[in-house]
Amino acid sequence: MAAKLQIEDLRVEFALPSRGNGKTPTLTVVEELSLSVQEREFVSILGPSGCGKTTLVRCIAGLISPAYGRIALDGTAVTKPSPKMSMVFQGIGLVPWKTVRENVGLGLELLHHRRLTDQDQERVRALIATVGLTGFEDYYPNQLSGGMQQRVGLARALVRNPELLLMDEPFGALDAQTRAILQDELLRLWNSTGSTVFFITHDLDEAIYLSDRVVVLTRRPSHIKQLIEVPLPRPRYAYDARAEPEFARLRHQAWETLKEEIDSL
Amino acid sequence: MSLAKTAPFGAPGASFRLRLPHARWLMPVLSIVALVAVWEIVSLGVSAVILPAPASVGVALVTLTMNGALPLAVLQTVIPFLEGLALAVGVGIALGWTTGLFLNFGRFVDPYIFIFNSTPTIALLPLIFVWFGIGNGAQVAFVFLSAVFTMIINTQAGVRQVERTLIEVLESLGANRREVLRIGVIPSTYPYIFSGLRIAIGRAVVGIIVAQILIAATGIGYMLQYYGEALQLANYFAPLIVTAVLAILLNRGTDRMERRLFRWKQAAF
Repeated sequence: MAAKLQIEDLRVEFALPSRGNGKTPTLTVVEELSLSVQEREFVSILGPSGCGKTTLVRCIAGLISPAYGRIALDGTAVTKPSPKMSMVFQGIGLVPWKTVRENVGLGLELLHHRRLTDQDQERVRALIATVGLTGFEDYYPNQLSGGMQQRVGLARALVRNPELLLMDEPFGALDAQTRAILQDELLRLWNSTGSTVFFITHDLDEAIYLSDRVVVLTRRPSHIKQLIEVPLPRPRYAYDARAEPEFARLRHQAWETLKEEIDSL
Repeated sequence: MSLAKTAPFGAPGASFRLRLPHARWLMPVLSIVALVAVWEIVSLGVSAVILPAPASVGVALVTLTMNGALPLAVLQTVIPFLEGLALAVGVGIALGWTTGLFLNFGRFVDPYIFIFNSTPTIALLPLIFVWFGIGNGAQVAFVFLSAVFTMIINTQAGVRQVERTLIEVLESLGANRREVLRIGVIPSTYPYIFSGLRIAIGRAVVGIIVAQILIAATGIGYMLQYYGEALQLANYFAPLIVTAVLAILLNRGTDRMERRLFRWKQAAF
């Protein structure tokens, strides 16, 4: 079976401020990274902070270009943002002067490059209901809590019915309870949509709880250190998956791997 | 316990406050009444040449209004003021957007913006005199020059300080350059444009009065100068009060417009 997302020998570099000797120094953030993600798979990327996780996902989203290597979605090279993908950002990035309804609507408006039809509006309404924000359609982002804002971010991504959902530490800035609730809702939504999810996090529990596979990255320049399969049964929100002995074992394994990278920083 | 009744620090109730009904408008009114009272008392002890009594200023206000001098002066002032301000706002926003969006155009134009903005507008008076004469055009030009650079600089700052995340989010959703401008960049300059407008209005008010005193010899500016030099202070105070009231109304209008336009800035919790 062909992979949904194929990353081959990826290298990403950043230009550093010139030292004035005519040469532009570069910082290699990602190096020799290869990974394939299957259709409908939930993959998490776990890595020490500053290791280039965000760079990797921005590259997959087509927002920055790699220095070397290839990223392919359904076999087609990604060079710019694709209508098949949606991204959820840690900084959420809602448009402050647009209401919840308008922000979610942007997901469709920018997909089709036209004003929303009645059918689009219906879909927007449905998605707002799905993320539990019915009644808040006319609120501005500033009038919502952080958790509610990220629900809007999620609805804006999902309204496009993406085949690949990219998530860059989407729950990183939320409190523990809100995060747990949104994790369950994400699993529920993923269950019903059939998207492939590529999830960036630095939270071990989150990575294991959500994913089919956890990819542990090395420190910068990052490549894959270890792949951890998570065989816990689904749906995981239906029972307390975190209480399973297997969960603790996997968590320990991931932490031991990650710790080596943090210790050697 | 007394502690439980204490409002949290920083809350409106934390400061000392007499619980008066309608204090919001009552206190400013009382303040004005008090000023007039003190003014009245002081004016009893000094010559009318130095400080006219409030009553005689009131009489002057009525007389100058009835004989049409003051309404005419207001008209002669408000028209070039609004023309100059509108021109400054239009040109300022247009140049602010273009210099902010097109980096090299910005680099090309920035030195002149910097030079003109650092030069006191009043120093350009002889030039305006030579180029525009002493008519309406000169007043408009002076108001324009007083206000335009603030508008340019603020608008430009709005473009340059647009949030990177927001642009990236729009791009990730597939926005093309036009959509990024329409949805992200341009609206994010509005608050900056508005705070620019606030400053520009203040400068334009100064501009029109100065222009009418030093160039055009019409309107409120000239009235102030004429009665001032004639030492008819009662007649001088009348247009001064009108100017202050007009400026306050203008400020209030801007406030209201700002609150309406930027409802999205107000947090609910």
